Amino acid sequence: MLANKISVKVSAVEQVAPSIREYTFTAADQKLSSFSPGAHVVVEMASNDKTYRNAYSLLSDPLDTSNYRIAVRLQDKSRGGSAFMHEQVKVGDEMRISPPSNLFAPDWRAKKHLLLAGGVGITPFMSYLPEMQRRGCNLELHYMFHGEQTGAYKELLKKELGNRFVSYDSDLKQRCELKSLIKNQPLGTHIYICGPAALIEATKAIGQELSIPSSMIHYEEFATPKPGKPFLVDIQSSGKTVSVGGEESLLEALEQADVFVPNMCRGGVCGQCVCTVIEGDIEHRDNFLSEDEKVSGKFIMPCVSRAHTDRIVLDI
Amino acid sequence: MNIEQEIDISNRPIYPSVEINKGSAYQLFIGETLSDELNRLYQSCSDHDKKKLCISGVNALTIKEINADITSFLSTAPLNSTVYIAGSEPFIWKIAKIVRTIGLMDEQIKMLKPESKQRDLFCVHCFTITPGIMQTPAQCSECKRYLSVTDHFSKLHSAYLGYQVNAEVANEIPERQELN
Repeated sequence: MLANKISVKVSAVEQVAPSIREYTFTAADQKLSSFSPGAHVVVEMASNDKTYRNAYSLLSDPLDTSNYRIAVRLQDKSRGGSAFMHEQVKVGDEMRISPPSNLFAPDWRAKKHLLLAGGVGITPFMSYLPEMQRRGCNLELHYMFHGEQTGAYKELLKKELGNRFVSYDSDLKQRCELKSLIKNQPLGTHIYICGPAALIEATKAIGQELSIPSSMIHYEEFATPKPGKPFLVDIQSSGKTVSVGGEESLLEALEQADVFVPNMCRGGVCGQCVCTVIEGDIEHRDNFLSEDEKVSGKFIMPCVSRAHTDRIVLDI
Repeated sequence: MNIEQEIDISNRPIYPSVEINKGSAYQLFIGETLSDELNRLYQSCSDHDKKKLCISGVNALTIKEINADITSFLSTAPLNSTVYIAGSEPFIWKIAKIVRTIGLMDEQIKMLKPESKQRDLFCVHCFTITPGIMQTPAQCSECKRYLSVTDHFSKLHSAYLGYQVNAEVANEIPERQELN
């Protein structure tokens, strides 16, 4: 369940890259609030057969309360959400979103901010830049993308940031030498990564090799829940049994059955939706639980994790 | 409930043993004096181009003067640098505060075990910090109150909290004890 949902109207839809569309939301009945750079909203997409809920970073200026903007990449293997946004959502539509929440705010202690974006991972940095420019921060943005699919906003960014912006189009065989880039940064540089898991892992590995404290490396990966085999969930409190299909997440199946679990990122990082497991073998896919917690088998993050067994029992 | 019950909570920093962070690209050693332990660490760091030693006691540098030295040593340092600090506890934490403002994270600041039992004492009544305290109770250098020296350490002030020990009966001053 999304607390205090906000009704918004789609006031513009724009194709910003071959597979990315930008959506502008203006308030329908209540004023929008300002937000902190890096914040995201969960967008509810009510299709005929089910309601999809996806988290998208806000890419507008955090102080601009006249509208919110998000960008959605049409995923090759869309589970429904991004396809719904691309195919169904039109100017004038009313939608519901959660208030902004933030799991990827800049660390303002940094002396320099090194921003590494991969593809549609540029979005949170779009809200970083206005605030960082206002504060006169030292920053560099390195943007990696496939020009044939992604690469939104590159001209705008080039114009705004000049030589503080470097782009790498892998379809033109342009590559970012991550290690030498990171190695040559001055003391007090914080590194931010938003993009595919491989980019995050590569940066973390370089950080480890160079003895860079993990507190200087910040990343956000909204792992969309990956499919798996279907299973059943028994709800201890009500005795209800919910069936989880192969293509939907446990959290989505619970919501579909009117079993509401507090949640925020829907990508296995924030920890809001943690549930206690009474019975069953869990396939952990999140980045929130510690290794010990995972091994204990007592907890599950229903937004991304699934069951190895055919049936599990949850204490909810 | 016994409200007079003594509350015994220690909030003193813990200093694990320090080794060279080998992955680091630049190592800065800062000491109040060149202690054996700091010297051992400095010598064990084999790469001469990537290390620097800065001892405040040699020229009796003030914190302000040493701040200028440290800032210049670190001005061109890479992001994966490490700073090692040795000396009295107040010295260590004052230097740590300086390097933190330059951009180092706590993981990059290695504090050696303090070389003396001297404490700086923060008076909760007049907010003055009295240096060089070895015993409790101790007199505040500003308001002259007799303060009980607690084990509550402030990372911000690099000092221990002290409160008036004889607030109720002014001429009753407990026997002095050595701090450990």
